[in-house]
Parts: sequence; structure tokens; C-alpha cells
Amino acid sequence: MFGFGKKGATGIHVSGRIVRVAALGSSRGGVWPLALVESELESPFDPAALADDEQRQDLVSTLEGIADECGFDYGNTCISLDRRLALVKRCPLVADADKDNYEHLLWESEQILAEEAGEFSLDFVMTQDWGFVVAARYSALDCYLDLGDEVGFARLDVDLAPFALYNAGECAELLPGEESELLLYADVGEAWLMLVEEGEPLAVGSCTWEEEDEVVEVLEGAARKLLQDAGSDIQRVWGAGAGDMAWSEELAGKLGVPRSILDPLAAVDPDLLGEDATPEQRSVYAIAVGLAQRGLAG
Amino acid sequence: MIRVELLHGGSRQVPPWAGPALFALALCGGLYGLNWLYPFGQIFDSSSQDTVANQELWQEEANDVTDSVAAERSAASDPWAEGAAGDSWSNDAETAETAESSGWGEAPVPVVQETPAVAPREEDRPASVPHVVNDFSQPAVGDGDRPDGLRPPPRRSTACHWAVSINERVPPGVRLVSLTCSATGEYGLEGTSASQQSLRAFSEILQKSPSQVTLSSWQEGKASARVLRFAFDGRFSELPVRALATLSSDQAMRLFGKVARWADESGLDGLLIKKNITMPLPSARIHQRQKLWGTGSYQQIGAFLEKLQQVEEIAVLGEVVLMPIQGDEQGWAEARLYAAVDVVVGMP
Repeated sequence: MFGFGKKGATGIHVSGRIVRVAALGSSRGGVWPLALVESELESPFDPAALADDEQRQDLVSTLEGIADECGFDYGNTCISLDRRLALVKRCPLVADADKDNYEHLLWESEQILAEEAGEFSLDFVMTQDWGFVVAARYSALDCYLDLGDEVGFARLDVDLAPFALYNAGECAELLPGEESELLLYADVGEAWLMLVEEGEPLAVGSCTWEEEDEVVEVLEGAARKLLQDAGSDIQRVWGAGAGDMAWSEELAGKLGVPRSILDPLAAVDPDLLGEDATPEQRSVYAIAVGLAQRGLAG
Repeated sequence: MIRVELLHGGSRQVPPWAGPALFALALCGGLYGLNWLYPFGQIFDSSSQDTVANQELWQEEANDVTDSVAAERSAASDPWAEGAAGDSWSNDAETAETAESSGWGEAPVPVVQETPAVAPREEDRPASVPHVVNDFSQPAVGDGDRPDGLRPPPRRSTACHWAVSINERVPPGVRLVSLTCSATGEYGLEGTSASQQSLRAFSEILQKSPSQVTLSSWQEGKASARVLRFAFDGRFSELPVRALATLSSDQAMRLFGKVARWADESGLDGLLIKKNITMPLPSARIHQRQKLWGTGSYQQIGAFLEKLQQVEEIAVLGEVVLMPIQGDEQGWAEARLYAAVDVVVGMP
């Protein structure tokens, strides 16, 4: 599909009923979008659906349909891990050497997972001062591998939505914009938040709401908790997602900072964008694009 | 670019028994091959009988020594280890004392009294405030028994180390708010639990320790944000204790200097060390106590306490209060530590 020096990657972000797929191509000249597509599933996708062969078929056929329609394959794919399947814990780093910090994080994760530690796949994200322990059950990851086998992913990775959001902002050359900033991806019924300080992740959070809830209040509560836990304040909110864009605007107003749209394709040559989508519309694909960017990075 | 590798190349989970099984298979194969090349029987037969006899004799002596050391180490460091509550020090007739002589030689009988869903009276337990075990401002229980009115001297004890190690056994869903312990063996745990099931699991774990423990639990908060709170009051009933060596005042001063340095080297933050406190003891001796406050991770606090254990013959961790600073729902990243280190000093 791709010629010499060119490569491609696909990011898949599943949230509730909606599947969003971003296929990106890249060469020395830069990155360009091959497809930004969303499709609706028959029923909301959750961990139970992932483990159920029949329900998983709904997602399989949806993904196959998207690839056929848009004319790409899933050679190099990264899919977002469901919010309920990932455990993220932030720990202060105490040692100077990476190896010692790694051992410290491993020890901390063993304290959390106790006897179940052997059932989890672990990885760590280390910044200058903090370490993030990320854990997911092997049994859940096996379900994603089953999904990959059924769709025909040649190479599959999974990653967390907030990390993908960060990658999208970084690859779009929007981050770091300020000394301290909040990334918000608000979807229908759930949101991801990430606090970024001097270009490094400082804290990660998520929240959900029901129809009767005041969404902005829920978002504000989650944001303030994150800021309080991290002992930090912010200079900007980056908003993205399929939810009402007024939410991030109102949240930024409540926090007394400006709001900007996290357009994941802001750094792409406008001639390569080839369509009239607005930054707000492209921000819906921020997580999917961030996942695909990870695939392109190798 | 942030990336986490959870799939590790897309390989599925290997069953936990596969690794050891493959290792055992490879080992058997290797040994079989080695035996085929160099039959083991010939190698053993060629050894001299005298050498074997000498080796056995040496090994028996060495085993006696290592067994006794291992037993003492085990008892001092891990109260959950089998036999740890036994009287590993009781044969030392010259110096050994016991916290409760009536308890020695009897099997440990853990007692757990659960009083679920009972709200404690306000005067019984102020919310979330750990009680200070012994602040020297109040007379300790039993002081009045001594005709001279003087306190008994502090004694070697691993109670506080045992209590702190409870942290490693807190099950998922249980969050500690405070942990207190004194060298005499009394300890207290306060916290919240996600469910009765988690609390029951914690209670069962504590029952396995050589202690008597009482559990109180109650619901707090309104319906939408109800929290299951708990308080364990326990006592390490078969605590091996013995006398501390008596130091000169210079030695005590140097030791307290070392304690401060160890706390700093362990990485504890916000260290606060006040002037030591002195209390008179019988037989021309005084009891000196160094109080220390700091904040650190479990690893840092553990490193500091481990240093203290290295001088257990001359100093005892008299009191400890640990107040975890909740990082998130999964556990604590740091805790505030209060530690009191006691020594016995001879009057010049």
C-alpha cells in the first residue's frame, strides 16, 4: 500500500457506541490523514462485550466495513484501552537512576496488586519527578488480541486514551504551550483529563456522568481534584472531543484560564488535509490520531 | 511521545507454571546428559570416607549456629512467619524478660471481636485523629505499681516494626488512615474500607499475626457518600522483649546523631527532630527519648526503620505513628511518620 520511505498507521478509539478510526500516512514530507471515520455500534462497547465472542463480532464487522470503505488495511494498529480495564497510579520518583526508579515503581505496583500481580501486564511512564504505573489484566489484553486476530491486524498495540491525547497534542506541535496546562477530551458520557507541566504529564484522571448530571460541574469537580492532588494550577485548557465544545469553554471560564481547541492535525500541511473540516471537528479524532501517531513513531 | 507497552509484541499470557516447568525440564535433561558423560556414582565413590566424616561434623556445627541465628532473625522481623511468636529469646536466662510471662509457652490465640455497624461515641474516638500512644505527658498504665513511682526502663522490642509491616498486608479496597504502635505491643489501625468483604479479609490477615485484635467498624456519611470506617485495636501478646544495653551519655548523643543522619539518608522529607526527653529510671539510670517527624514513601520509611533495627541491642523504637497521605484510591504514595527512639543511659 505504501511506497519506499512511506508508512502508515491506524488508531482506533472506541467509546460507548462510537468507533473512531484515524488512518495516517507519513513520509519524509510529513504526516497526512488517510481517513478520519466514525461509525456507530449496535450496542455500547464495554469490557463485557470485549470478552463476549458474539458482541465482539459487532466491532469486528464495523472495523472491517470501515477499512473496506476507505481503502486501507490494519497493518499497524493501536487501539485505546477501555477506561475500566486500565489501572493508572502515580508515584513520586525517589532515586536518581532510572533503574532504581523502575524497581521502586515495580515495588509500588506489587503493593497495589498484591497477590494478583502476576495476572497483570505492567509498564511505567517516567517523567522527571513522577512515575505512572500502568497495569492491565492479561485476560483483558488477550481479548484485544482476539479482536486483532479476527479483524486481521498485522501488528497491534494498546495504549491509554489520555496518553494518546497527549501524543496528539505533542505531534500537532501544540504542546507544550504553557508552563502548566490541562488537556480535556470530553465524549458523550465520559471524559479524560491530563495535567501537563512543562511539557510532561503530571496527573491523569477521568470522569463519567449521567443524563441528569450537569456536565460542566462534573468536569470542574474532576479538574479541581486533579489540580488539588497535583498541587498545581494551570494557564490553559485544551479542549477536544465529541461532547459539546461549550463544556471546555465553560470549564476554562470557571478555572479562569483561556481555552484552545486541541486540533490533532494542526501541524499537517493544509494542502494535505484535503477537506473542510474545522479544528473542532478534527478534535473529535484527537485520541484516534494520537494512537496512530504512536504507530508511526514505531 | 508517551507509550506504554502492555502487549509486549502481541504475545499472549504464558501460563505461570510454564516457566518453572520448562526450567525443570531443561534441568532434568542437562543432568541426564551430564550423568551420561560423567556418571555421578563414580564421582561420589571416589571421595575419601574421612573427608566426608569431617565435612558432616563441620556441617552439623554450622547448622546449629545458623539455625539459631535464623530463628531469632525470623522472630524479630516477621511476626507472620511460622513460629515467629515463639520464645526464641527465652533461653537467654540472664537477660531475657517477657512482656507477659503468663503468655509464654501457650499457643497464640488470636481474638477478633467484630462490632460492625456500630457508631463509636464521639468521646471514645475523635474522627480520624490517631491517639498518641505515649507522649510522656500522661502516666503509662502500670506505673503506679512501682513503689518508687519510677517508670520501668524501655526494653528491646520489635512491636513497632511488626506493626509497620502490616502495611504490606493491607488488602485491596482497604485504606489506612493511621497506624500507631508502642514498644509494649499495643497497636491501632484506623481507616476506611470499600466493602465489608475487604474489611473481613483484612481482619483475617490480622488474625494470622501473633496478636489479639479487636475490630470496630461503622458507616459514616450520608447515603450518597457512605464510607465504611474501621478501627483495629490490637496487642502483640507474645512479644519477645529483653533489656536494652545501658549507654553512656556520650554514646547516647552519638547514637541520636546517627538516627537523625539515617532519617535524612533514607530520603525522609520535612524532618523535624526535637531535643531529646529525659526520664529518671531506677538504679541510677535515665531513659532518653528522641522524637522524630518526617514524610516519605513506604520504601523510605522502611529503609529508616531497618537502620534502627541494626542497633536493636541499644535502642528501641518506642512509638511509631504512620499517617498515609492518600495518593489515590489504589493506595498511598507517602506517609507522615512520627517515631520515638528510646535508649537507657547510665548516670555518671
